[in-house]
Amino acid sequence: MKISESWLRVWCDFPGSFQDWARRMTAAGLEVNGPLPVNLGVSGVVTARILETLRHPDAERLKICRVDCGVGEDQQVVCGAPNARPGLVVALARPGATLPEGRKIDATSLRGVPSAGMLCGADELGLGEGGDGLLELPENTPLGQDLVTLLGLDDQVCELELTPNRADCLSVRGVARETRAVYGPGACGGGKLPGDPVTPHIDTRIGLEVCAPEAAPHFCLRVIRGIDAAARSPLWLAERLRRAGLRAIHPVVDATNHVLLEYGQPTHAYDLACLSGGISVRWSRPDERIELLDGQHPTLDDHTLLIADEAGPLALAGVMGGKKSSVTASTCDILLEAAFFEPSTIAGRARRYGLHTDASHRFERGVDPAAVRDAMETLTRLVLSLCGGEAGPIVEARSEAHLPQPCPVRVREARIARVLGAHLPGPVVAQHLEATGSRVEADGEGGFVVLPPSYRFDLAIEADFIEEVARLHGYDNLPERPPTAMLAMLPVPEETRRLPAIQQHLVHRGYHESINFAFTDGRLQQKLNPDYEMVAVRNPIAADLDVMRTSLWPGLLRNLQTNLNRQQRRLRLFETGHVFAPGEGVVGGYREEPELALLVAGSHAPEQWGLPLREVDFFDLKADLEALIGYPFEHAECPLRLDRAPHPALHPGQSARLLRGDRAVGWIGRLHPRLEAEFDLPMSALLASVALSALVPNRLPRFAPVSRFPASRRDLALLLAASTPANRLLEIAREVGGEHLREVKIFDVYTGEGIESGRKSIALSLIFQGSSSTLADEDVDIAVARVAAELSARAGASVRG
Amino acid sequence: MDDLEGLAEAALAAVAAADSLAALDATRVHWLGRKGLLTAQLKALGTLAGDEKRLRGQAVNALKARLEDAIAERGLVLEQAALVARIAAEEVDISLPGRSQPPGARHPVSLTLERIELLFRSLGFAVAEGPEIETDFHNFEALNIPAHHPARAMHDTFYVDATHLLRTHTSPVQVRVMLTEPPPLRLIAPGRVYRCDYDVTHSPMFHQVEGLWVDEDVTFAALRGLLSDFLRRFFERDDLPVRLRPSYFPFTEPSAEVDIGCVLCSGRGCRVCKQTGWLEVLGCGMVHPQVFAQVGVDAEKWVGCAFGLGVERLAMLRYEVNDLRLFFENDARFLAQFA
Repeated sequence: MKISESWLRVWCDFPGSFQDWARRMTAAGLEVNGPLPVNLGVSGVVTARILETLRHPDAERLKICRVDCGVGEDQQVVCGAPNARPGLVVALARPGATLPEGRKIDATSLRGVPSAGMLCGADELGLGEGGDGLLELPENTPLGQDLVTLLGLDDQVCELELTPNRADCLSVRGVARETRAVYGPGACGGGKLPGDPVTPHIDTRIGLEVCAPEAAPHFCLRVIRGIDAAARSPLWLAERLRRAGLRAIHPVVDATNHVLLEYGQPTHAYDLACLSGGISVRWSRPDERIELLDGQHPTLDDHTLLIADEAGPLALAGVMGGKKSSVTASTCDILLEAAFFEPSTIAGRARRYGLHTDASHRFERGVDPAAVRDAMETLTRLVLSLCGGEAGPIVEARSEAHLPQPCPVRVREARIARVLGAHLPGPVVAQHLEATGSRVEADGEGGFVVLPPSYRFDLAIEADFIEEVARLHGYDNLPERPPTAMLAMLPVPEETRRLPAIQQHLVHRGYHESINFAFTDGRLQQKLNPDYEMVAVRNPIAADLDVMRTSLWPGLLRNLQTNLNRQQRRLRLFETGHVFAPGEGVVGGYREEPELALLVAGSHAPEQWGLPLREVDFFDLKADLEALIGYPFEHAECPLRLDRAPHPALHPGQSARLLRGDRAVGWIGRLHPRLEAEFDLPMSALLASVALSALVPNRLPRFAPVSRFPASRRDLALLLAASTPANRLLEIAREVGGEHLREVKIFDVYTGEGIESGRKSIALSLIFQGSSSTLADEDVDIAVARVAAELSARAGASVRG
Repeated sequence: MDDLEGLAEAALAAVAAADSLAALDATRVHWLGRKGLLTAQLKALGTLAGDEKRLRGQAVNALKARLEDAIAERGLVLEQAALVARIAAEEVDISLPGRSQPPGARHPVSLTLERIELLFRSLGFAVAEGPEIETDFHNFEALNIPAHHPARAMHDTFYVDATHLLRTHTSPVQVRVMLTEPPPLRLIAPGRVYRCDYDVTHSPMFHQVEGLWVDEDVTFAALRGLLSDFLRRFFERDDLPVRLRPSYFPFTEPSAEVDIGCVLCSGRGCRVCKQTGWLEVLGCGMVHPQVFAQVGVDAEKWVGCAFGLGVERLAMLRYEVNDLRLFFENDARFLAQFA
């Protein structure tokens, strides 16, 4: 909401500058931006009347205007505005005048015709958009007057960013009230007394039936007949509206807007001639339709409050009027409406129809229910003064039972001290409470009974008043203390790994951490994982962010693309984050689980002098996973297993499922060659994913004695079918190697020349060691022979040479 | 005995001429080995007798001793020379880069999250987590934001169905914790949150850390002390100005926005603080009695305070990142800067 200093000072003449006011109000919780000057640099501009216009001899679009500036001789000014016409009162920038953006006006000549300055349009004066014509001033404007004085442009405007609880400040009157509260009693002058009620001139009453008193507990109507259809809003009104961000449209509409801005009370005016029969305030019927002022034709639900006549809906109550009954240039008789609508009946209604109006903004937050009649009287006086006419009596429906009744609230000094951690003396508390406009009485038991004013919808419980006391006392004036509490150490479980430790581990292995949005492109994700069900976002922010991710891979692959486009050809990324699926989870119907994913692409190491480069492969990534888990997969203690299995996104020859016990917890593999093309990748990428829950458990280390006796190593060169997994050899060797077999390793794998096709050569090293003595060679030989025999029998592996 | 002098001369010359340990060893074998020339002289003593044998024996033995000494001495010299040569041969250009897999880097948001966690853990705040797809109840209703409350307009919400949404803040975690654990409570809840807003200064996904402290003697003054302490430790600036401004959140009362003196211009005014010298960094307040009522905590017995801070905002200020969007592009050159 915008508020100008001049208007505010009519209601509350605060000491000090507007700038200082902005700072103090911000410190009290009304965030104020500004002030900004209203005059953007106009000086030396005076009012003048065009006496006659002649066509420029050498320019078709230009006119030579003779203008009367009130004093001195008539001046000749050349002007190209289409609306320059004799009789029009305009703004003349005389030689020496300045306009916004430092523009200086000099006597000049246009196509050979001298011009004593320039006639100005509204935009040229920094007074908003006025089309391509001249600013038209009212006919009775005195001539030769300085425009800055005439329009009161020596003014400033601030923008208030009000929190939703402070609907009472959505008006000049409300901000003035708050200013007085913040500045303290007696600090501010000014103020405005309520005017006298308008004595009816005529007795025209219109029928009123409020069918929904719970929604519209106070509703007022009044007829005004015979308004001057040619009346125009005066400059002061147009300027006030403009500084508040509104445009002057029609004096009656302008009057309703003025009341809205000044009192915070939305009102509405109907063209009486367009109404048929009495007015009813009722709930909509399903599929009723209305054409609104903005041209929309919403189809209504069955729970929208309407103002209607016998022919149908006239307005969405508290939101927007209808087109049919709107006030136009030919309107003579009008019907004014002022009402209090229960906030909850308006809340959400406007949004339901895609509307947000000044009226709905106020009604859904709460408009002063005690000020409806005042608003009607104020509006009537303003309309009569702007366009004449004769007012009828107020027709009123009021349901006391449905009007909000402020309830007294007990506010305890001890509670204030306990919540704020500050002891404020009773009189100080009382002063702050009274500053809210509440009635305050000491209860004699260290507290107060406080009755909030009708316009404060945010004051209903003790905590609300404690906040007011703190706010008006000034947060800067409240103490700050070190936090105190019972000391208690947090548990430090050693058998679980914290996420930062997992992340740090990967960083040490050369991975950068990536963070992607949790929503992704459904089509892309479908390609990576056609079998997964996805959770769709109902209102995605972009078409390619329309589903929740089922995997972290789409994000990482996108990152790879981004980096390749930026000439980063080697990438090692990890990400941890939730993945989502329909199903039973913590929140009904949705499962989400934290996951870790890895992506590597490009060379296995950065280019360097001391290392021959090669592309990363499956075993690089596998090693990274093993390092993270803390064990090689074939290790007996390794909590995860690797199982050859196909995945739609992975190369069928290079993919495996990760298992923890029987539970599938992840995948590792190379991106499917088909998808390389899909992602437009010039290279391959390797991917892994693991449920974080599978990585978090950490074995508590337990000591085992270390043998001091020498170990013996024996190597076995084996020939076997290429399709037999190497791991099978390790399993068999461990199983039958006997108690002294400490370690089995594959130290060479060979296929090619010298090896029959379909077969491969694998070299194993077996390390034996006794725990209490040096092993005899014969014992080791026996064990090796047993291993060789079993490998041959169970894996078809024959010992070479 | 002249022959011995001749032998001695020849032997010593041979030792001196040995230019490697191997050559020296060959020389030793040649003279002192089992079939060596000097060994032959010793063996030949057997053919002599009496004084001649004694005298010649002494002379040959003395020669042998001289030769052994000379060999040992020459050995030391050669060993030293060999070591010098080896060292010279093994010299490397230590200015060549190390052979490496250089380390990667944590994401700056992740670093910031951990820093926040560490600071609050040091005061005994536990870390709690909650789901990112939330119910309307936990995200709004229980936090005193009923349907159609105007505050909902401040949270542009992503919905997955009529009653489930992507959490717009981490505050629902405090609801989940209070529904299951009795006070006293001291916890933070870091996590991802979602709002339907995407431009230069808004990301549809970002990170927050929610804090909740419920005890019998929690006060607004202590909340302020806690947050001042946190902000000064986070930015490592003991003299960092911290101020509270009244604000409004439906789930706290009183509520405040917390500003710090601009850490980039030290309060003199710059583009980032919009020339105000202040930066808004977090929101906080005392837990609203309505929230306690929703989760069954006795608001007379317990007092609570809560706060919520934006992680990207703190990360941007801490690491002087000037564009929010950089966080989610994941350009390796950006990420590598946080190693």
